[in-house]
Amino acid sequence: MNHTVYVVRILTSYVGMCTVAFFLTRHLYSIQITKHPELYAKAASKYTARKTWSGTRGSIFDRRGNLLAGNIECKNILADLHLLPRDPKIREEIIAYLSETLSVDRDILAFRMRSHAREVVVRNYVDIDVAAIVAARRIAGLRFVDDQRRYYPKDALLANVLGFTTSRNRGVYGLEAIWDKDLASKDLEQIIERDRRGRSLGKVDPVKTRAISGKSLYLTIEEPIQHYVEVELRAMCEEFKPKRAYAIMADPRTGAVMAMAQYPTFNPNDRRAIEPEMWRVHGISDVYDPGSTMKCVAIAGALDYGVVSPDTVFDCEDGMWMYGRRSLRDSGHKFGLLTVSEIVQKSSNIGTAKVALQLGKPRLFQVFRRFGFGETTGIGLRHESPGIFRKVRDWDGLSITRFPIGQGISVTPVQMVQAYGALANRGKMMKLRLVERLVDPVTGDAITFPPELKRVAVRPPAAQAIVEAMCRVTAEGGTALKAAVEGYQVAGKTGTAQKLINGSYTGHGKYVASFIGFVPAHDPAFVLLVVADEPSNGRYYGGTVAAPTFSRIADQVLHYLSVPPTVASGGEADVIVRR
Amino acid sequence: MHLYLKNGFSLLRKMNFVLLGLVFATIATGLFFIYGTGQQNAESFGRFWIKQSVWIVIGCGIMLVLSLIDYRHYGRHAGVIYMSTVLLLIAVLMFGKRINGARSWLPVGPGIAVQPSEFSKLGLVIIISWIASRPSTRFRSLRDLVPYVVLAAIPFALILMQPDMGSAIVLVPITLAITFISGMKKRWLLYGLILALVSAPLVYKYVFKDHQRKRLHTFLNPSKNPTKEGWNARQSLLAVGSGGLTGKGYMKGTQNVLGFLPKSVAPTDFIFSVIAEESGFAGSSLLISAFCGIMLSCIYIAATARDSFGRNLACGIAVLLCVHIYINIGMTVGLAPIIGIPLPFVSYGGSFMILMLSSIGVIQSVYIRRRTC
Repeated sequence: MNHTVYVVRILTSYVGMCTVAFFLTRHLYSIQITKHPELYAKAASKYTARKTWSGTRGSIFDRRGNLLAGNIECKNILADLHLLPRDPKIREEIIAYLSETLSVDRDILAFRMRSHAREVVVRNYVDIDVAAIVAARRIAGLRFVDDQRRYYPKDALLANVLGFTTSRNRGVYGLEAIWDKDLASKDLEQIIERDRRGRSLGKVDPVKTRAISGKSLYLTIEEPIQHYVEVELRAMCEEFKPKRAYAIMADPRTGAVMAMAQYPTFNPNDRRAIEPEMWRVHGISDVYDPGSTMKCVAIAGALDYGVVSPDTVFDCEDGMWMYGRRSLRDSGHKFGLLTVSEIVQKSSNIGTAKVALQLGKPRLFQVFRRFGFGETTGIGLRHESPGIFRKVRDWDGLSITRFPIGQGISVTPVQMVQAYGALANRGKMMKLRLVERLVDPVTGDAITFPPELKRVAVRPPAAQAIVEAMCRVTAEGGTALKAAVEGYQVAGKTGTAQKLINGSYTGHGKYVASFIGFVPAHDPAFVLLVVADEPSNGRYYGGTVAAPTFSRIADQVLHYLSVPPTVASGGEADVIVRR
Repeated sequence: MHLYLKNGFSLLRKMNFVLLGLVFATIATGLFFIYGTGQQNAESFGRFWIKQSVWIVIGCGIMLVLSLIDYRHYGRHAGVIYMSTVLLLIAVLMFGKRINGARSWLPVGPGIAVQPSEFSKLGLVIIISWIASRPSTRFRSLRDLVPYVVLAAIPFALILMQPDMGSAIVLVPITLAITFISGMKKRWLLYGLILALVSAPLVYKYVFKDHQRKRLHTFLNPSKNPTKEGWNARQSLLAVGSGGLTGKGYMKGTQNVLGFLPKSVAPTDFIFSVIAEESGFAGSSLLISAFCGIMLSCIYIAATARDSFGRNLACGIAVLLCVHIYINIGMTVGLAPIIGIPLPFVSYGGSFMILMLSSIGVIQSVYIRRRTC
């Protein structure tokens, strides 16, 4: 072969090599440039992981720092089905043991154990000590994972107001739901580089992981007072068997709610026993017929407008008065001439109606509005009702005689407490509030919610006059002697309203018995409302059902708050010791 | 021999410095990235670059010596050289250490082992080049091919017995290329191709061992394969692809640094993935350009060789380099099965570095004694 042929063959080889190099480069281009975004994302997904740091949900305290809702360490028990003994007999025993110890349904547990998953939940949120008992059995394949669970150390105390959380620690009801944003711990998510075995390579800033715990909520509630109220309310319910009952106590000078109790209630730590009816905060969402407790509001308005004075005399028509072709009665009594003060003391329907007629429709309507009826109090709980309160143009001819005696008008318990708070606080109506302050447990930063004046409902002289009249309710000749508290002057009013059922107020024997008042009358420590909805047992008067409970609660709370007595012990009611 | 050594310096001045420069550039690149892959942990990988440096120094010494020796001496002693590489292959089958299921390593001292299969590649190049360059050589009938086939088949079979499919397969294109430029009929190549296609299924069924079949499956279907090779192929592709145009930066290639590309293969067979990931398409295409330059230099040397033996040697070595480069880079980007072929001058590995530098020494010897016109 000649030299040229060699050269051609050498060059052919070289062209072959260059072709190879060209295809390699082209392939590299397609991988590194064209497919780069796709492959880069794929690689990144392999070496990064998200890690979530969950903090602790904020606690809820009463005004003095007593814990009402906190967190408790617990264990989630999981079963690794690959490690759990496979022998059906042994497994059957394990299922039997676990279902009994952890109170899980046996069939459900057996169903889970048949799953194809590697690991199944046996039970979440198991108490530490129960988990320890199970752990001591050393069953192969069980795994115990630390967790936290919402815990209410006082069980049913304030349960409705506090509400509860889901198993994932999100508030779903009550304050837990409303303040969820602040109480909830913020999950901190970090993208961490990890190596092939999944070990993380990043370091985590400990300050960052601490700052995400929820804030602490301090309520205006006082735990001991709440406790007295709940105990007495339960006692009342046991005696009179009402369908429902509620009691609300607030400080009239600040609007701070000191206690808010209801029956029935529930234990938030025992979810299985909770029924929807129990969750509701009846104190804000239920409306009831206030009955005679409304009279003080109407009469205070009349006094404020100067239409009547405490000594103005009205003829109470011997208990039976025709107005607008309908009769109005004073139940069980035949009153003759009564002063305005006596109308309050004896709770005369006819007298009150006549006072209201003197005041007139528009001004009566204004009085009710000023006392906050027909609008929510803004206490800070969900599903608050504004009550049933018609506009003045919708009033019929009888309205002016029925509304002042608490018929045809429905109010929420908190509205009533707010209105009486105004009477107790010389006419100044404070906004009711449940939350005192919000505190960041790490930094100590606090947001406080100061008392807020809502409006002046009546001027002080009118308030003064009505308080004097209300003091006589619990004195000799009044409707609620049983509401009296030894050593203190009590200003209050009974309410016994026949319930409106199927458009009729009479004939069914269903009543709402209530008592609302404040002690000491002239310098009140609190205003307290006690309501029993449909008491049975034959007794239904506010003075018989609610007044004694009021007295017992007031007695304990006054001593708890160390309020000095205003009346010499055993002395006459008119010996008033002003503070 | 002393005659050549006496005026050694003047001989060295006649070396092809373009080739030498490109070789040193790729060696330096390799060392740079071998250092990089070893710095993430305190394990023995951290010292790879030192070992590699030692091998490079030894290799350069051998290269110098081999370039000073007249290449025609290699031809005259081709039989001895060939026989000694074959003996080494037999020795490794008898005394070799079994690593990862293959008996490829022959221990020669404390902590040092060599891969005889690497040396047999050069041995085969020399003897085939020598025989093909004999004046009596003719390619008239297929019978004329018998000596080449026999010479290639012996080391091929011995290496296959280790078993090391990759190294064995490299011998085939070398033999083909040298016989081709020596005047083998073109249609015989075609016959060979047809024969290969026909015999492939039979080889697959009766010759291949299980792990070899697995490798082939991995190559054909990398994402479905859960084996070590499948993992490496996938991770390597991700490494190369995620590098982009300019790469993630030196020692910042996550696939390599975080151990997705196993540390045991990153500096050896998969060093190209590391370079491509950390320096991007810019770096990887630059490296390929350097390799093209090296191959062009070899072809240039072949074209200017004094005789057909020199030409055959240069071409054989060029093809040897090309096969390694193609298969190795192909392995990292999914164009070739994972058969354990290192990247010339770049991959970590003593025996292979010695082989490569020896080859450069031989080719320089051809160039030093080139035709002067």
